[in-house]
Amino acid sequence: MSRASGAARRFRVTSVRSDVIPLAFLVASALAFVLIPLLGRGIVVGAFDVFNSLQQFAAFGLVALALGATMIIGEFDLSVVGSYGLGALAGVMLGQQNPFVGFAAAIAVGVIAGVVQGLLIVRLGLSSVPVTLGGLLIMQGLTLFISDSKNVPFQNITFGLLLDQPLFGVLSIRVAITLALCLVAALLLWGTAAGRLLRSVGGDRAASRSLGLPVGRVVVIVFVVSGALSALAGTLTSYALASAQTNVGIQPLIFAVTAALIGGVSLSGGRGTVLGITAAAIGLSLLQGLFQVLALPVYFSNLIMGLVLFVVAALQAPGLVRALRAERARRQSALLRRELLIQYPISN
Amino acid sequence: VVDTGLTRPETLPGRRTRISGGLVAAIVAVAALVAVAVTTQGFLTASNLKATVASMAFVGIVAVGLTPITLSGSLFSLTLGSTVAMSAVLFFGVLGLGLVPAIAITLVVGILVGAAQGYLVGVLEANPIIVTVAAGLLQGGLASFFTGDSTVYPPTGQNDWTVLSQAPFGIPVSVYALVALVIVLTLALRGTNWGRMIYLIGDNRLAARAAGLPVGRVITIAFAVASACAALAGIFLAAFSANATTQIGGTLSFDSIAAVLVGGTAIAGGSGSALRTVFGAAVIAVISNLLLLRGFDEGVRVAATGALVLVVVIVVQFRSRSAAR
Repeated sequence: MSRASGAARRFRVTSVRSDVIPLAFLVASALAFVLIPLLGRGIVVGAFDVFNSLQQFAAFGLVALALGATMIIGEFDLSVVGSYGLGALAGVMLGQQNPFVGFAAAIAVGVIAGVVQGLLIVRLGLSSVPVTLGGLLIMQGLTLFISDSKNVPFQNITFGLLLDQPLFGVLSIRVAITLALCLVAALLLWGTAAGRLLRSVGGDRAASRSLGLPVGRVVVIVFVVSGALSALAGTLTSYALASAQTNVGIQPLIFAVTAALIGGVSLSGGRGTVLGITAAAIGLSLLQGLFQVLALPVYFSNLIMGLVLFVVAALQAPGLVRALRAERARRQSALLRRELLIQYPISN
Repeated sequence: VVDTGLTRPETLPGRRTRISGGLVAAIVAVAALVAVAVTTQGFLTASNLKATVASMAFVGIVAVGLTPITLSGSLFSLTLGSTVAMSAVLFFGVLGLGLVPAIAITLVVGILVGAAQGYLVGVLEANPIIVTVAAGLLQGGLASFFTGDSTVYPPTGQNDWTVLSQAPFGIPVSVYALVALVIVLTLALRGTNWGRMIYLIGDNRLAARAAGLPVGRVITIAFAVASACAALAGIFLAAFSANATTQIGGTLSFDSIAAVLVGGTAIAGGSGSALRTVFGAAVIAVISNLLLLRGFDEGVRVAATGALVLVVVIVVQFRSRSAAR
């Protein structure tokens, strides 16, 4: 993927702060969340609706962060859904007595998946897409096998309910945990050497390597973090819902990739911030919460999400960017020609 | 014994030995598979073999159609399962107009859906994963909208569609369709300009663009072909099941990608063939069948497919590396 991205990098827009778009998206989603039900149906959204919408962020926000991190370094981790499902299963099965043992087990699953896949990608020079596709299938298969294709109940209901205790009326504990982890990630990467390292590995891997940066180690670590965060998200969600799903589907992947793209992560790597991804993930949760408030059918939300993804994919497409630049250049040169003709009229 | 590496140049004179090494590995793998197959009770019965071939037809048709996309270096499509489901629903939905018009409408819609994605990926150079995930959401959403998520049955009293689920000489029509598709696509990939350009673009897209090849159009057609094949599979699947739901595509998206990769078509594009994909689909179908006969469940089948994908991707990488030396 990174090979085909040279063209995209050359035309990168550097003048706009990349966090402006996701923050604007968040504000627009929040406004839509309040105004559309009010003006359209006379529904006043309350704290409970906000609380409900943000649960989506708790379920998939960390997956967005995980996938986003792999995209920033110019890779793509399809296996986030595999770690999400298998991690949740490990967490629920081993965390019945002590939920923290479950968390540790889930994180271990994600770390193992990340180490194996990361090493395959780095050591053998494989592309991350087929490797993580294989990893996804293996983890999905293991999830089905271990759970005997049945959802596994989480007996520790008290702990599950605790995770969904409201804070300040609008946050649940697990939303707060997710936000805290996003904050930690943002602090770790914002303006630090680690953040620059990630972006330089994604921006130009060959140059990073010749500068002596530990490219291989960065890739493996990012895949480890990606697996661990996804597994953690799956476990938090399963604890709160009191059940580990045997078949997660690709819903978390769809949410994560949409949030990462709106969050300013570029598909060609080298660009993206934790703040952007977090803001986009919260905005997306509010948008999906809006569909719930309006009681729209599921297919409607699918259609909207599909359209949003299409638009984002097209906006990031190098071909479109190039065409727009060419068009602008043409218009400018036409303008210039006209001005020149006015200043220096051609006399026959 | 310390390996000094000094004997390497003599024992491994470049490419030929390495490829025959790969060949040996392939033969060993096939031999192992055959050994397991022969010793598995109930595998070598006519009815089981027929069932295996029949089950392979659907994923085979989708995977063969997907092959040109992968060959062109555009990774793969994650939407073909949705296209299968949408087409199955659409086919039974418009069957009242007659069998041939219904097939034609379903295929044309499939082609348009694929071409639209191909335009985004080929002409605008959008990311194929994102575009096809988006297309999957849209197709699933539309199928749910039109069916209300209920099962679609063919019009009562109309029976002409059952011709699609018949089995002349004991082999389902869909298998004949798969064979025909492989022949047509192989000829198209080898004998037409489009086919040759697919390989060139997959090998080096920048060079293909610099040489003035119509990269966008070639990729648009590749996606249209894939989507049309998925539509065809949807028609057969609807006829086979005698009903259609929005869930009928099942795991076909990932299964078809697995078949392409297990067949040895390189994910980076440029090398592979339709025939290899059928081989990949056959290997997966046989392994799935063996696991089923030996009492393993769906999960083991999925995990085994994933492991197989990883192994083949690694082998293909080593072979292309040694070929490049």
